[in-house]
Amino acid sequence: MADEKIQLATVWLCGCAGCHMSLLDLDERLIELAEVADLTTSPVTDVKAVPPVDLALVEGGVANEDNLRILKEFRRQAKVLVALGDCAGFGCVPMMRNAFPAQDVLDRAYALTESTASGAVPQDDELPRLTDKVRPIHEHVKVDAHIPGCPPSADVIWYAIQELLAGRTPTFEDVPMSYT
Amino acid sequence: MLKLTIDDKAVEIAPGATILEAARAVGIDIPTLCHEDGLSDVGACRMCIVEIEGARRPVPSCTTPAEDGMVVRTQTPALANLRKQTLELLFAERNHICPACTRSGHCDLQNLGYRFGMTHVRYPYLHPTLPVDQSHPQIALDHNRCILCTRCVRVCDERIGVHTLDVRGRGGESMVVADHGVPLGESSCISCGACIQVCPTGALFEKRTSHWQHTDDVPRIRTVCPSCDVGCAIDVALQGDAILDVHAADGPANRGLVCRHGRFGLVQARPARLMQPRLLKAGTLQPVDASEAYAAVANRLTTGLVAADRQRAAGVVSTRLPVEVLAVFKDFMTNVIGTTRAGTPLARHTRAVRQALGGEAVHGLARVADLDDADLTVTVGCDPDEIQGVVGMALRRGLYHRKANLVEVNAGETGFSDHATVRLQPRYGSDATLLTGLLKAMAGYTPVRDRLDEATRAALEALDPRDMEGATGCAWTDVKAAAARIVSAERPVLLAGTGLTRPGEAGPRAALNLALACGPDAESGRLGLMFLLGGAGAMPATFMGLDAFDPTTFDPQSVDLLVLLVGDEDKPLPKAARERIQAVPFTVLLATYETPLVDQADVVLPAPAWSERQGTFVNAEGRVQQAARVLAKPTTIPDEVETLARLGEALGREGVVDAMASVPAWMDQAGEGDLLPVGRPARDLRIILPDSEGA
Repeated sequence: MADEKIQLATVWLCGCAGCHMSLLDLDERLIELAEVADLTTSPVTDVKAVPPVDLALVEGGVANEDNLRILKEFRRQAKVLVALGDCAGFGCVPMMRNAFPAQDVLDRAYALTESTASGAVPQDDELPRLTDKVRPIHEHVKVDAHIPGCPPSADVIWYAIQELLAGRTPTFEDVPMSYT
Repeated sequence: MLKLTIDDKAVEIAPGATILEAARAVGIDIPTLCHEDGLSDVGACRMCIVEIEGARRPVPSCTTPAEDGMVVRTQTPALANLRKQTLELLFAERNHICPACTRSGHCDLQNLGYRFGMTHVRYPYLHPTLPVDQSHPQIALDHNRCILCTRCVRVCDERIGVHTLDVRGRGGESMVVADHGVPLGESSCISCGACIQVCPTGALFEKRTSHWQHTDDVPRIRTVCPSCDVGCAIDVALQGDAILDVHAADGPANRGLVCRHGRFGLVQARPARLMQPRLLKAGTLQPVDASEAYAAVANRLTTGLVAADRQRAAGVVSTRLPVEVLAVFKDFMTNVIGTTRAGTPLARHTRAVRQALGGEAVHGLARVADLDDADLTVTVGCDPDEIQGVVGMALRRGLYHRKANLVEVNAGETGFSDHATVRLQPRYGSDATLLTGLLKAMAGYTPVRDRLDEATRAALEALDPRDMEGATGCAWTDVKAAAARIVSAERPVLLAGTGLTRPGEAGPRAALNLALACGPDAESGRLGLMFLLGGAGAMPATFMGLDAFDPTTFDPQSVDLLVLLVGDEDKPLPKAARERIQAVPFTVLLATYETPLVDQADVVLPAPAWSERQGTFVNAEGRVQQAARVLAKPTTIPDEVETLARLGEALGREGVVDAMASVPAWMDQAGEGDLLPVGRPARDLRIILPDSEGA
């Protein structure tokens, strides 16, 4: 029955979508998941507004003001908020830009690339401003559980979801953990 | 023995052992990061903390001595939590990004993260901006990944002896630095790469393969480095059909160390590979079938001057090739070509040493390990930094850690000159004279005097120090100072190299005389003398008498046909030899790579690389070691033994060449790892003064 299902939301912030690819790698287990959970807002469903949910999976760290706004909204709406993958949990590859000032990074990307003839950093109020540093999400909001991996394998994600559905925090004692 | 209890296990261990050693002795796995077997312990990383009953707080087991009656716990929930927190602090302190790291998959830090279930880092990251030092040609130092365990610092100091690396600053400002903060590539680093091998993270890594996709589990194959006569045991890691890296293995001579030639030289970029036989036709080298190439050699041997006088043929074989190849080559030159003129690029050195040793093999010479017991080393025309890097490391350990003395006799300057207790710089060509002068000065002391026979004593007494001063440019007072040091040493070792400037056996003989004058080591009975000459086949080439042809001094007019087995040497022969070879009418080259020698050859036959052959080497200690094949040989390329057999058939030899039948009989007397028991003990040799110059 629909009203007995848990409400699930997912989102990616500063990540590469790899963790969501891994999520889709659940394959036939997605059907099993759909039997116990409704997927509400998600890059997969393209539902924009975040309704109150039981469980939220957040891919990616916080690299700009928009990431931060969405993260805080997810935190408000989710009973249990989980960091999915190493960008959300460790900062990971996007964090490599922390060695440089944000403006230098923008200049390098938009103005100074070898393939850019007369590039300029886009300036528009609609565009989110970069945060000074890329940070894992638990440096901004309370996070209830972490699923490590770059990306976490489908098996690791499945194990973690089952633990969470059972009301436990995944400890990864039974499945091999990996940061890569 | 101490009796203690670790994790409810009764453990007995000798006094002086640490808790970590006691635990590992009974198979208890305490996690560590800064501990490395063979290095001192500093207790820097705090991963190995344990609880001791009655102690107020956990202690690092690597620096806490085991005590009688101790009750130790190594795996409690509290310890696991502390270790996890320590790991998180390490991750928070610098920029560890596993997916972007060359070490991911075989990283000690990462593996401990998994082991302790570190799903994230609870401390805020510090995000320091840190440099990556890429100034060194082979080694990169990425401070972002450094956990300041100081394994690299300790291996560089304690085992390599150069102490290039150290730590600057305090607390969170601490940084590994080279010398006083110069780029690694401009530092005193001798490029041995030991720091890479001990680094628990990806902070120190080899640039050549840093972009390779690493698998978690790389197979390692134990073999022997062919580069020099130390004969270092090495573990070669493979990734597919390529060599990922070379690790120093715990071999009897090198004991876990290897120099730049082994670590990086064996895998450095090479010229293009020779894949097919070539023959000079109409002025250009053209690819041909092997049979056509062999026929061309046969044709040459039966026409022209060499047909009538086979002594007009000569051959050179690299000392980096194993005994089997050396032996078959000698047999081929003697019995197929019919000439006695077979040698190596080191022929003049190996001949001089063989003659100085009485023309035959000896045993009971010093070992590399003896340098760690030596209170004085005499280097004679020898710079171990050049070729035998592991010997240089032992020398430095003695100089810096044990305050051992060094007497350097060398016409030139070495990296050790500034640290020599006495430095003697004889004029070019006068080193044998100087060494005999040194013997004269030593003869003034009773124990040396008693080892000399009447005639030698008289001959030494008749020498006028002023003549020696005139000939060598060295002051008699310095020579006497060196003699005083040498005779007062309890365990002197003398290293003689290829930098002796007086041609012929006089130099090695004078060096042997000094060692004999010091007498054999009281404990081991070995003579404190090593000859350090060249490739891993240099010692067998010496004893096999592969010295009847010297490619650097021969008269090009006397050779019509030259056979060169240079293997995979990059710079196979010195310039003097290449100039002479240019004038030889017909040259047959067996080589691995497109070196400049190829253009000087009339017949080119491809040969395997060092990694593609197996064989036997004998090191400077006389130790017999088997080198294993690491990579498969291209199927179209025969090894030298096979090529010489086919060539022999083309030249009329019947039957199959049996490589082992050609190997000298003394090889049979020693098995793998044994020291050759052949000939006389070196200590029974007699002091025979070399002829003085001009005599």
